[in-house]
Amino acid sequence: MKKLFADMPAMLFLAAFSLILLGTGCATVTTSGLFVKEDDRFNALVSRHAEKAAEYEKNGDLRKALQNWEIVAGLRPDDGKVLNQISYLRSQIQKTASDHYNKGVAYFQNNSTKAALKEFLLALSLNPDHKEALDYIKNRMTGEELIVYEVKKGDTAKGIAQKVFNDPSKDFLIVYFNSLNKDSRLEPGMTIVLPSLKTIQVTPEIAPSDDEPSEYVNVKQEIRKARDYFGGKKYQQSASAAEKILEYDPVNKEAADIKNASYYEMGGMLRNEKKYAEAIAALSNVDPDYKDVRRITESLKSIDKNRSRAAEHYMSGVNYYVNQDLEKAIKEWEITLTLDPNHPNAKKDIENARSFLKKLNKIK
Amino acid sequence: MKNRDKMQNCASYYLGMLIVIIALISGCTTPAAHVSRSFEQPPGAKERVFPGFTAVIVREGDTLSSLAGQYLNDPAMGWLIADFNGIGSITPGMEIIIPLKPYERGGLTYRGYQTVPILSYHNFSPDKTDKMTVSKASFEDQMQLLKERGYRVITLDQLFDFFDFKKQIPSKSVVITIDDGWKSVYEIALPVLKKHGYPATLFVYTDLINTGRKAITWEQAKELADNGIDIQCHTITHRDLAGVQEKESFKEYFDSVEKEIVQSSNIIKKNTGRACRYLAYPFGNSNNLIVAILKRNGFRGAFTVRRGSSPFFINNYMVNRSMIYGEYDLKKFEKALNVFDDRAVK
Repeated sequence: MKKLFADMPAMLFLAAFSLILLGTGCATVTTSGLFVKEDDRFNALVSRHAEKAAEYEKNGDLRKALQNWEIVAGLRPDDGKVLNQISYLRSQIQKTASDHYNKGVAYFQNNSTKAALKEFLLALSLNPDHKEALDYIKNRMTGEELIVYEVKKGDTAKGIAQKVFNDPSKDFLIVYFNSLNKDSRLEPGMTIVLPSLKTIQVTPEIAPSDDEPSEYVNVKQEIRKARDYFGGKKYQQSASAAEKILEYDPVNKEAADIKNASYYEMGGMLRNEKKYAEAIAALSNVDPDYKDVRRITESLKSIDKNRSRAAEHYMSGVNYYVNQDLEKAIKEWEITLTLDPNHPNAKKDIENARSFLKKLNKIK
Repeated sequence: MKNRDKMQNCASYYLGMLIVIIALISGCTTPAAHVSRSFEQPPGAKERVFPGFTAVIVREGDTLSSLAGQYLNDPAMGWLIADFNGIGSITPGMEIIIPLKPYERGGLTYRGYQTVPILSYHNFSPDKTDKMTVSKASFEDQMQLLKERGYRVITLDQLFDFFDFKKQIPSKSVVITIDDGWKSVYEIALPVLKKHGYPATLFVYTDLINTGRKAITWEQAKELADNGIDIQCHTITHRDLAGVQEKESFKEYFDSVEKEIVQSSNIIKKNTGRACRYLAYPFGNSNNLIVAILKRNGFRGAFTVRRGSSPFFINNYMVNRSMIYGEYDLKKFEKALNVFDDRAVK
């Protein structure tokens, strides 16, 4: 009977299921053709999930078919045929999942990990409680970072490190990964774990990720570049290179030093060129505690402020001069020179004005 | 052979239909004694409870969230009801099934499996963009797109329950992560995330914190943590953990990387009061020794920057993340949101 039932296609089962419902007393038919109980408010759900179950079964998705039959059974708990179908699906699922699992183990043992993964996943898709399949997927296929070692008579930590890593000085790894003390004795038969060092490589200071090369800034290379620019007195370039590193690694001390030194030198050069405002702007990028930058900036600000005031007095002098008030013009330009002794025109203009004034006085 | 199968199918179909017709012609009435005699609940009840599921007829005022609160003890699990029934919302009179436990762990079926996009951001700006800096407007658009397309943002704990095949997550789940600890996370990203109610994880490298106007302070980190932003490890100095540096002995390398992992975790715990269980590898690089150190110190998982969504069967210590760059438009952003794959079962 079970065999006969097992071979019954989904449509035939649905029909039989409908007949059973009729036998137990029903009088209505849904549009889907499934018989329902007259006064049951959940008829639509029964139909929907019976149809879904049949569809999933037809498409080979046994677990989802089972899930839907379980819902039907929950709503029709007195239906023996539904329970039989559930029982049949459960045994089918168990058998198929077991087949996939066994295939997976065989593939795994032959190092065919891709094929093994597929089989373990299929086993788990059918039976989500398949602990062994899950263990392979989550642990045995991925956990390569630890080596298990059974301590033999006469083994010492240094001896094991020599055997496993070919380097007795790596014995500290045994202590660390097994929560031992330096003086702990290794008893024969004891199982210890050691990390696999296979994937460690000697790399440049910061290695790029293959997948995301754009994120990567080679700090060592950029530092070298920044230093070269600085040595060649190309302060703008050295500052930019240092800033690029700091954008990436904001606590890089070497880059911070190069940045400070670059802007400090730029400030000095601009001051010598009497470009006080530009010098102040350059020095604003330097750490205020770097060398005497605070004092220099204050002094430049004062000079710059005086220069602005000097420029105002100079223009005022020009206005007096144009209006032929030479004495007042000279006075304004003298103030200009007091505020900015290096003013480019004031001194000469005073001389001209005095000479002109002298001639005027002679005429008078 | 195919024809024979076809004929058998046809025969079965007609036989089935015949049984149905006979049953109809017999035109039975419903003897009360046969109806629902073994049900615990009366036939007119609005719910029916049975192993693993509850059938419910939706009443006026019911929401997915209220039903989840009532039947699953967690109003946030409304998505489980929606996903199981293939619906976006409910209306009174609707008949639905409430699964009382995860019905599809790992999002795994025999046809394929769920994958989770894990987005990786770094810096934000009010207006300008560059490779690592996403503008405020772009970030707002991206978060809005997640909402409009029905994605649900989950936490790292939820993600790892999914990876461990313990719990189910929404079928369109996404994780948001941000690296480093720039102040823009606090000033720009947090208000947007708060607006949408999205959780996120900030992986900080502790040397950056409190270092000036561009970095967050520990007070701000704590405030972020209080607002649903999980603060996790990105080492102390952002050194590449994967390789021994030139002129560095193996012992020096080991001591350095162990300190980068363990001390950064301690610093974060001390300053935020919350434990650190996840690490984002600087530059996305790792090796077996680093994974062993992480496991030894109770870390639950770690993240690379290998592009692509992650299925449950990924190595928990080599989880993929997709970087979201400043120049991405919404089309490019959406490409990072793949939630299903079938390659491993084909």
